[in-house]
Amino acid sequence: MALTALGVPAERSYAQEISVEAFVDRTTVELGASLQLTLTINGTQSVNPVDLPDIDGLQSQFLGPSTRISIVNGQYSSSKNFIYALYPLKTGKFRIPAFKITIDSQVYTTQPIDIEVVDEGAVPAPTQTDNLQESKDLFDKIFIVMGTPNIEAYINEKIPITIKLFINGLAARDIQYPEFEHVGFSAGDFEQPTQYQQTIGGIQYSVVEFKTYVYPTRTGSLTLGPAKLTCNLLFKKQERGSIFGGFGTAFDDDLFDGFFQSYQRRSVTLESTDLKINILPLPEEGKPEDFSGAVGLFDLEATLSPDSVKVGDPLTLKLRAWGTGNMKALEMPQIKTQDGLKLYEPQIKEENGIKTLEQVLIPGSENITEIPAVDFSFFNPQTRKYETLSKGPFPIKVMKPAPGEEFKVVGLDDHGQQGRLNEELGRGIVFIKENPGKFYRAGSHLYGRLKFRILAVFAVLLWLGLFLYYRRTLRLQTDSVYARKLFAPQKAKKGILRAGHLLSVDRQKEFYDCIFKVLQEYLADLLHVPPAGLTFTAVQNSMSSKIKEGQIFEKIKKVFDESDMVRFASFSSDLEEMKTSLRNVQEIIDYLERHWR
Amino acid sequence: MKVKRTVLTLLFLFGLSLSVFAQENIFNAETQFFKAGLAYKNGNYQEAIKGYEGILERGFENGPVYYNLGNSYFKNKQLGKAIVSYERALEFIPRDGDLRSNYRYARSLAETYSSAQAGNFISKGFEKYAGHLTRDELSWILFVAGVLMGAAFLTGLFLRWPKINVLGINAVLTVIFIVHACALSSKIALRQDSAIMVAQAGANFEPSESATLHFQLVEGDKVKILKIEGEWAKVERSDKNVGWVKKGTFEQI
Repeated sequence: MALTALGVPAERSYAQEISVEAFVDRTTVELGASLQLTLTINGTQSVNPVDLPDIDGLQSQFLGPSTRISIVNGQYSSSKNFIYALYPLKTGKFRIPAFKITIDSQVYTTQPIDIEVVDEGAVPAPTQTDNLQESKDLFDKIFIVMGTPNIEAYINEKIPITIKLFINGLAARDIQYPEFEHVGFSAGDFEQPTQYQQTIGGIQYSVVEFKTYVYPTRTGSLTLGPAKLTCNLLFKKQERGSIFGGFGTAFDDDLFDGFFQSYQRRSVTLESTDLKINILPLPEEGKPEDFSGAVGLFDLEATLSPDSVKVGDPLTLKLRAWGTGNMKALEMPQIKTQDGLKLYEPQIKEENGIKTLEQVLIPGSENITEIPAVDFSFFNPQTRKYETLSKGPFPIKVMKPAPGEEFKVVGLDDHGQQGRLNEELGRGIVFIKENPGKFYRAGSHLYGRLKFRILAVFAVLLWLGLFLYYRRTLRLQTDSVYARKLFAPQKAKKGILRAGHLLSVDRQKEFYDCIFKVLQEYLADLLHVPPAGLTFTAVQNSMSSKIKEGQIFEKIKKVFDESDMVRFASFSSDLEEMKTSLRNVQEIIDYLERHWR
Repeated sequence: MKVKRTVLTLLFLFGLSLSVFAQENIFNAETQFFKAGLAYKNGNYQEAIKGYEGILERGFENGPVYYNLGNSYFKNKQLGKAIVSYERALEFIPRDGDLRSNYRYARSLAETYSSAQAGNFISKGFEKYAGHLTRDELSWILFVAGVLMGAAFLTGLFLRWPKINVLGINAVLTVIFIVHACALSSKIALRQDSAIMVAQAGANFEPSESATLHFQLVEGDKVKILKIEGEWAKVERSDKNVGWVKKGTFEQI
């Protein structure tokens, strides 16, 4: 919404291809726990939730959809996620099969994913010691890869280099442009990096791709790299256990993370492997005489204007060259000299990959009928041959100057100035002003006026308000723990009101259904777990480290038990008990709102 | 309810009377401006000075009033007061060519002490630039730069501009803001501390008639007031010489 309000450019590229992928949040899970399966459909929003087929050893539950829209460098992309919880039914190794999804009559297939279900407790909870191991595994979660399609190239040939930063489950900030060793190469600047998602081995990575080019300056087997990239990883200070979990993705970047929150930064330098590239010399066979070292595929355009002049008047020959080679080092073709034709120093510039040469020529005789042709030779690495582009000759018509126009006088007319040089100017004061203009109160200045000060304070407050709005919106979008916790009491309040209504009309079963659901969803929001299947034991285990008040657990247990009995065992309850249950739910929520941090 | 209405009516009438009073005052000031101008044209410079000073006494000021007053003093052979008036006019119409011309001419006639202006080309350039803007213009520039800084910052956040772009824009705006804040600050300080000698006076080593004379100040000399003690003021000349002169021999800008 904010993007639209502030004027995102209307030109969007919708040419995104549809693709489908599936990935899980982990591949090893304990019996009794759950894992999350995400089906991502890129390139379209018009797709309905997918019904999962039966999976051996696992029971699935659809949790909901989510939509992702991003605009990077003017490129619009969208994806839709369908998130499922998978509950293991037994231990062992299982395979989530490939799913077939039909979109617009096209069938797309995901990759199968292997997972392992182990006994409860087999996967130890993370401890301080384990963080060391986790640190060792850090480079499985974030790493860089340098690559090129050319393992063999000619000297001065343009070689594309790609450096990809892979990030999985970490929050990376302050990502610097990579650096790499390039002895024997001339390196260009990096283009604006691109960002996208990529799934490798069932694990989804956020990828930041940097592209550049190098031009080999000598022959032989040369080494490029290793590439090094520095960035900061963020983790919450108060977070214990895994220091790398739960921070969104690299695309959750914002300028002022850590402004209000307590994040800790850790700088990491990532290093890729190096590349070996064999650089070949240019062949001597067929090398044109005017060849000046251009390698690639080029095109040349030449224009001469005007094509009809008088003797002594200038002509401009403009050459424009572009192509796939090293434009900065490209030597523009020289214009051949000719008797009676005066050449001035050419103006050469390179802009947006186009090299331009502007040559001013002055014909000194009316006998000149053409400007000689311009030849430009280069080596084409695709065909492995030299090629020559030729433009011209350019016919011109040179006329005799009219009598009296043989010499042009440029500059000031001395005769006009002569009479005034020795003039003596008198001095005096300029006459008074006759228009009074606007009067101001004596000593009153803008910065001292109340209206101006109010305007300045208003501007500051407006910006501050917009900034806080942005922070809140961003956090609600990216921090699901915060969002769930924030909205939990409001949701619970609505549920309690509804329960109060059900109580007043004495609809016992619905009442207990309602308060059970209110409490279960509230506790699930606080603990950031799915509400389905949340039991008292799970609540007690999760909360006992922070909540020391035993009565609260008793009340939770009581509400759960009473609700179960009425709902499933056909127990009957009187009005007083219902009121007590409702009060208990309110007290539990009030207490947790004050004490749960 | 009735009381409330009465109070509101009284407030409205009070506001209206204030507005009418202000309008009438401005009208009177304008009338006085034209009368003084007529006196100047008739060569009655004393009357012109009285007329322009009368506008200032009414609590109004602007560039043309100070400019015309400066001209009147100049014609009345009061060079020091003419320079003071031109200095004050520069605060309102700093880019006015007539004013700059008259100011330069008046200064050239005053046999004032002149020393090479200290500072490098940056500080000289800064002073020259600041001298071409009024305090109100500087205030607006500061306000707009501040608003743009906030706008660039927030637009960068909402549109997810690259951090380097936001920092670049804000760096430029910050430089603009700081330069103009310094200009405004120096203008305020200059007007508070600077004075022009309106009569020739000797600057003594001590605030006493019997004290030894240190150096002479002539009409039109610009000095910096360091301290005022009773009837005496400690002033600093542009060559950094400091002495005590009697109040009344100078006028603060």
